[in-house]
Amino acid sequence: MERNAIILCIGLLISSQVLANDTVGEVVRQRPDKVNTSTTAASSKGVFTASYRVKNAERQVIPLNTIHSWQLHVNAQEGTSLSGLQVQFSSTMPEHLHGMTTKPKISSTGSSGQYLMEGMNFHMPGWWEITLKLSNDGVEDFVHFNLLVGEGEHRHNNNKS
Amino acid sequence: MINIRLLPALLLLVSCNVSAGSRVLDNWTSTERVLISSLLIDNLGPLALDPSNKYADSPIVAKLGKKIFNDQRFSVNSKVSCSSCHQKNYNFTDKLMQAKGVGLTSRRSMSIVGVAYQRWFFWDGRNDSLWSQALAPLENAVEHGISRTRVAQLIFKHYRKVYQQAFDKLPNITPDNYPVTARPDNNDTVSHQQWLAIPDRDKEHITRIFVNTGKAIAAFVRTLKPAPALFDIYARAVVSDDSPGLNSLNAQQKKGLRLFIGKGKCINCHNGPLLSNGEFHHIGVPDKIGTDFGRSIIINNIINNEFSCMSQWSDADPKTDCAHVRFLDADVARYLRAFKTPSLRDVATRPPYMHAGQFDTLSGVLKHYRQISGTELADEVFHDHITDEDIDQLVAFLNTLTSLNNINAGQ
Repeated sequence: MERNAIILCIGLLISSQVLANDTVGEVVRQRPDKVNTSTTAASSKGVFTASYRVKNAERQVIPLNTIHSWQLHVNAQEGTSLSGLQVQFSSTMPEHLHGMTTKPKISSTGSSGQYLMEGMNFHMPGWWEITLKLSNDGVEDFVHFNLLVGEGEHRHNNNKS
Repeated sequence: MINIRLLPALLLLVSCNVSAGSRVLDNWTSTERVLISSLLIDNLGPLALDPSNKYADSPIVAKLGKKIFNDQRFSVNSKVSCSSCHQKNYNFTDKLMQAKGVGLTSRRSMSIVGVAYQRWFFWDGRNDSLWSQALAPLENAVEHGISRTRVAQLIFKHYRKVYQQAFDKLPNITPDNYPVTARPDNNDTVSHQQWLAIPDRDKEHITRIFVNTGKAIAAFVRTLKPAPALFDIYARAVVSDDSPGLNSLNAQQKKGLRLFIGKGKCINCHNGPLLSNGEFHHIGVPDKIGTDFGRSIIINNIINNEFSCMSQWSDADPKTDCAHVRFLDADVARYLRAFKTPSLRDVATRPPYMHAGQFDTLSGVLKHYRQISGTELADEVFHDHITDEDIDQLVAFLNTLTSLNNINAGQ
C-alpha cells in the first residue's frame, strides 16, 4: 500500500510539466472588448472541466507581481473528480508575446481532483491567457483561462474546488 | 419599500451623485482608477520579512550597516565606500554613466531607495537577496577591491564592540594573521591560493563575518524608502473622491498620467507603488562598451551563487522560502540583453538613465522607446504612436514622481 502510494507520488511529480513557452512565430493579438474571466472552464473538446482558486487569498483577486499558488480542480465531463492527470502549463500575454518569468510547478495534492500550482507570478497588469494541457490515459485536451490582472477585483464566478 | 412619491426626488439625487462623481473622478474610468491606485505609494506597505536575513529588521544591525556603508576603509585605496556611488544627496545613486569605484565599472549605479521591496538585485538581477548584493562590490576588483579577509580584519579592528552587540561574539581567530588579499576566486590567483592556505575553521569564521557585514548593510538599506510625491497626493484624491486634491496635478501632468497607464503602456513594466515590476526586459538600449548581454549571462548562475538564498549562509528555508529562485524560469534566450526595470520614484532628479547612462534626459529615453517600439530592436516594447506632445506630457508626469521631501535633490 505504502509502496504503491510512493510510486503514485513519483508518477504524479513526473507527469507535471511546463509547456514550451516559446512565442516565436506568434503575432500580437489585441484584447477583445469583452474578456471572459471565469475561473471555471470546460476543455476545448469538452473532456474536462477545470477550475482554480488563488491559494490563501480571502478575496479571490489575482495578485499583481506577487509569487503565489493556485489550487486547481479537474473534473471529468460527467462531474467525477480526476486525479493523476498529466498537467502541462503555459502562460502568455497575447498583447506582448511573452508569459511569466517564473516556471510554475504543478503537483497533485493527494485530494481527489486537486492539484497545486506553485510559483505563479503575473508581473504585468493586463490580459493574460493560461493554457493547461490535461492528459488522461491517452486522452488530451486543453483548458484556457483568461485573466485581467491588476485592473480591479475579478472575483471567482465559481467556488467549486 | 420605497415610497413611490419619493421616487422622482431619489432619481434626481442619484443623477446628481453620478454627475458629481464624474467630476470628482477627473473622468477616469473604473479600470484607470484601479491602475492609478496601484501606483500609489500608500500601497507599498511595510517591508515583508526577509527570511534569508534574520537580522534584516534589527535596528542595531542597521546602525552597524549604516556605519560600514559610509566607511571608506572598506576599499583597497581607502577612498571608496558604498556611499561613493550611492549618494544620499542624489537619491542614493550618482551622476556618472558608469559607476566608479577603485576602477571603472561597465554599468551605472542603481538607486537603492526602496530596493528592499524587490526580489532581484543589480541591473541583471544576479543576486537574489539584498545582503548578498551588498557583498559583491566589496570583493569586486573595480568597486571596493578588497577581500573578505580584509573585511574581517576591519571588523575586528574598528567594529568589535558594535558587531558583538549586533551579532554573536566574534570568534577566537586573528584575521591579521592572514594575507589581506586572501579570498576565494574562480581563477588560479594569488588571492585564491592565499585563501586555500587558511585553515577551514578560520575560513568559515571569516566568511561568517563577511556575510554578517552584508546582512548589516542590507538592514540599513532596508530603511531607505521613497517618500510621497505630488502624484501620490493626486492619486489619493482620485481614489478617495477628494475634490480639492485633484488640483495637485496640472492638465499637462494629468495627460501624462493618462498616457502612462494607457496609450504609452509604460505601466506594463513600471507598475506597482515603486513603478517597477523588478523584472527584466530587452528594450533595445544601444550598447556602449561592447555588447552587454544582461541577465542572460548570469541567469543560470543564480542558484549556485555562494551566497544565494538557498545557500548555507542564508537564513531561509530553501524548501519553503526563496520562491523567486525556486520557480525561476532560467531560459537564457528570453533574457538576452535584458535589464531590470528601474523604479521611477524620483526619476527626474537622477539622470543619466539606463544601465550605462545612455540617455541624459527623460525625453531622450522616451524618444528611444518611440524609435524602437514594435521593431526587432526590442522584444516587448509596444507603445503605439507617441507624438512629441505626448513625450512632453509624459515627462511632465514623470516629474510628479519626485518625493516632496526631496524636491531639490539632484539640482
